[in-house]
Amino acid sequence: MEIEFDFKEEESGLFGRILRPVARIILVNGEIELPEHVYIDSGADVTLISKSVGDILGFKIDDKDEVTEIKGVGERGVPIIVKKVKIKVGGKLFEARVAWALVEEVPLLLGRTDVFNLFDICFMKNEKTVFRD
Amino acid sequence: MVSKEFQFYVKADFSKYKGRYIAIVDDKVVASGENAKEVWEEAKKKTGKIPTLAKIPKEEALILRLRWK
Repeated sequence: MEIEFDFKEEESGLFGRILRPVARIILVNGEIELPEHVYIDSGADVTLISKSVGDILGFKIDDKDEVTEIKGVGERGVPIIVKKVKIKVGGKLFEARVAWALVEEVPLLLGRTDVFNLFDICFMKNEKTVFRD
Repeated sequence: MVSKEFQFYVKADFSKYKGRYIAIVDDKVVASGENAKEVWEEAKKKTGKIPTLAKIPKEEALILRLRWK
């Protein structure tokens, strides 16, 4: 399987128009299928979704869930719970752990855990990202 | 194959939605707001279709690096 996603042009106050790697994925939890556009982030340990995106997927905070923290640039942590979902990229469906942030102020990211081991992911000169399994 | 909807997403200027969720169906933003579930439900109700969700960044520059302990 091979699928390509064009980079998305966006505005940066510092750099003007800037190209960012994005993808369309589908998050699957039971009967719920949620298509979303995400930033492909090779610097992220794990795929990240916000509180209300997890709510769509029917996530609940269970007694056995451990609230932990992830950190980005800087020291401010984000509380998260690790959940398992299925992710569809192109025609490939696989199970992956995702970090469900318990706050809204996070971007939607496709990170490395359970994803980058399944595909060769190639960023093609500010033009497109190619996923090849 | 890249869908019409994805082409719309990568080409469109969503700067007026900075910091908000948007729901896209075909080549239209059909709902927006600060809560993904509300946006998604509103879009489904309006269109009868399954929308694709996106969150538009408000940061001047995105430098994303997440460390998971």
